[in-house]
Amino acid sequence: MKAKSGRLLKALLLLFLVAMLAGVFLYGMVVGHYEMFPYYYLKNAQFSFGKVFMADVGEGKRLFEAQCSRCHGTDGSGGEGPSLNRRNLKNATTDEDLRRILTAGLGSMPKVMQTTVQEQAQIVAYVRSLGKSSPKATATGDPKRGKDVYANAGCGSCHIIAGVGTGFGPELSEIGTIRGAPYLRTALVDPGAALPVGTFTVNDKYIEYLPVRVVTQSGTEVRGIRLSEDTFSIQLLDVANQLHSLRKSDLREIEEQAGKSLMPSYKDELTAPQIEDLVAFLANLRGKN
Amino acid sequence: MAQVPFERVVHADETPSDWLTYSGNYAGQRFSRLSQLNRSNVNQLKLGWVYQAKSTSSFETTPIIADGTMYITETYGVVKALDARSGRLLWSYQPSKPKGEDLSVNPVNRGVALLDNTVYVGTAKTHLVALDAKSGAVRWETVVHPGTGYAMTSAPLAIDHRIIVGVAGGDNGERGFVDAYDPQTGKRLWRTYTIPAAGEPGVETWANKSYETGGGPTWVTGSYDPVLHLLYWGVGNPAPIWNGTQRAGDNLYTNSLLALDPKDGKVKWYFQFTPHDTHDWDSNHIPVLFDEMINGKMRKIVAVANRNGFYYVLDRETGEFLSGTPFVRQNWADGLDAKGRPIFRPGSEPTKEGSLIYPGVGGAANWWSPSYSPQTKLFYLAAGERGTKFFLGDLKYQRGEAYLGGGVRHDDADKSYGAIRALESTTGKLKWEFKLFSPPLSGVLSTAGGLVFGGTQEGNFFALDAENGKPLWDVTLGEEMKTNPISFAVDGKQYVAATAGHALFVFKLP
Repeated sequence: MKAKSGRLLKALLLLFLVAMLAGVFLYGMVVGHYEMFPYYYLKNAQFSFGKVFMADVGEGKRLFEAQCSRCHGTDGSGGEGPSLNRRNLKNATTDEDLRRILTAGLGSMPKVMQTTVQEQAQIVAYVRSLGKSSPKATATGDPKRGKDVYANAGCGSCHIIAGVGTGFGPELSEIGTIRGAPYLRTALVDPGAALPVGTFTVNDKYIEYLPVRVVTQSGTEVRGIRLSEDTFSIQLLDVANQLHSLRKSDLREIEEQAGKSLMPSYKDELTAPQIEDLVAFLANLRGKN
Repeated sequence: MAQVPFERVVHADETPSDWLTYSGNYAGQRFSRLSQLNRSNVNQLKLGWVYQAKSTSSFETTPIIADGTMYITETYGVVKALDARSGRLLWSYQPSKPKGEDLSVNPVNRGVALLDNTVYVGTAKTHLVALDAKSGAVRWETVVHPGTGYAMTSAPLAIDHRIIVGVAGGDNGERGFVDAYDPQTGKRLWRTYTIPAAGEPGVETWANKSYETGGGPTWVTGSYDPVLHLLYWGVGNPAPIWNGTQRAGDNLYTNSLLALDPKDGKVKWYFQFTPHDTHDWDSNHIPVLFDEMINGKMRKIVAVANRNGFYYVLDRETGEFLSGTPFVRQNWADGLDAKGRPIFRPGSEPTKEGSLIYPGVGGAANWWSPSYSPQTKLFYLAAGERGTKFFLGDLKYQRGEAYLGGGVRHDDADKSYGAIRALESTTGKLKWEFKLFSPPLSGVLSTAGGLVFGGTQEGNFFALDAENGKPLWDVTLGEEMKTNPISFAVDGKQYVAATAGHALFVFKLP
């Protein structure tokens, strides 16, 4: 009798243990890593203990898809905005930093549309969960071959990477942290569709590297990219990399060419595999991130 | 003898060396009768002095100048007295600040009121404070409203035996109000809510008891007619702003102009610009008063350039609608009916997919001041041309947090721009415009020297010819301007002043 009850006890104990483990496993599956190990995240969470602890990652995913995926990609893989499926987000070391970016915006990123503090916690939780998974490969090419493509295509005559090249177009040293692969692809085959958007003023966005053609009162034509502008003046960098600082009262014509770029398209210059290699090379330029 | 008695402010036009009240005179005209500066010498303007604020939020104050002393305000309701000749600090007042890092309202402060020997300021903590004008010592401090949800950001209006104040906080669903306080004691004399309570007239314009979180803030300084004894005050938008589904009805008295009896605060008449607003078109504007001929008859007029894109001309005795004309691109209304009510275009409400509406959320006009010149008879304003996509979202009310129900996106940002426009004051017909690179956040000052001064987001402070809008002078001040310029004189020399970034710049002739 003793042996039998002992075995029964062991069986029950084993069953109990399995049930516990299954429960924990299922809990983790349902609510995600974030909820499983809250203390780790709480060390970084400076806003409301309760809100972050209880943050629903599923809700965060829904909010992210509604408001953030347009620029950051549906799985945070990036696009016009930086990829977020990385452990280190250089502008958001803490969760409070990340929450502030949501509510205030950052550079050309607009702030999220009205969210409660609870929803902000949910979005933060989801974004952090993206950093746990390994970045999906959206660039299929070979970055090593891409480096050669970059050199042979003469990109350095307008771009600087790690201090080398000419600074006329955007610097590319850490472009992989700012743009996702789909955006980089567009920039190569249809550059006019991928002019970066900066902030000359607080509330609005203004196209950077905008091609401009002006004619002075005396008839001289200047072509270049716009560096800056206000109501009374415009500052251009011409194709010889010379600065022109002009008063609008001295100009009789100003033509701003939105949708065009001084960068040529490489659609017909490079083969499709070369483009993919180049995209992979650029997507991997991440500095320390 | 009291330094600035009420009678002196009534006749402010006769002492243009001073700037005695927020809009220059009780009529809200922001017009300087100084003419030393004019078309031929404005390009000789040089820097007189600069004052750098320790402000954390944007510096939006309109200085008050009386007898050589300038009074300005900074974030939270800090008050500084400066010597108008040298710019040197004379005294400083620090208010108690609201608790907590996340304020529900941006704690900017747009100026003080001055009456007799006392300076009056409304603080971010929603207190009204009276300071001795000579030393900055507190005479009294009254709690206008305790707790969170409200703030005071606009300059009070000091009239005979009354200090009139409005409040911000409508986006939090708090009911707005206009208050009157005794200038000697700080005792509240009356309070007029902008949203009716249960049983009051107007409550039938709010379905589902939505008046309880109605909004309707009063955060721009009003104007006063001391002959008619009427106070004119603008009211802001209803809450929740983007989602109007639970507050069917006109939502009185949001987005209206109220004419109040200063004796007891009773509403003598009201005019609603945008019934059942879903675009954040607060009608917190300076009401501009002037008398002009319409159809051969002299009329007492109040004009409002509204955020919804229409310029309204009303009879200021009765509130009768005289005319309304668009002054920017607008696509939400098929005009106004005979009573001035908008004929809403279907599809102009916020939707889940987003509707692109002109003017956008910042509005065609906003808190920044327009100006009326009795010389040119033109109404000058800084207009914003921008479209915004309006989205309908879910409704979630949380006390102390913004109650909005949706959101906006500036999809058309690259095509947006601004303009200084001169309208014929009785008809709204466009006389001239001067285009700006971006939508402005600053108002205008017009002067008897034939000039119009304004500021841009990029930091250009400029002067235009008041007759034709030609640019005559400009200077780069280096940061965004959220200002309303003024002019004053010291030792017979005319100065113009405006804030840019966190500094106040004062210019004068050599």
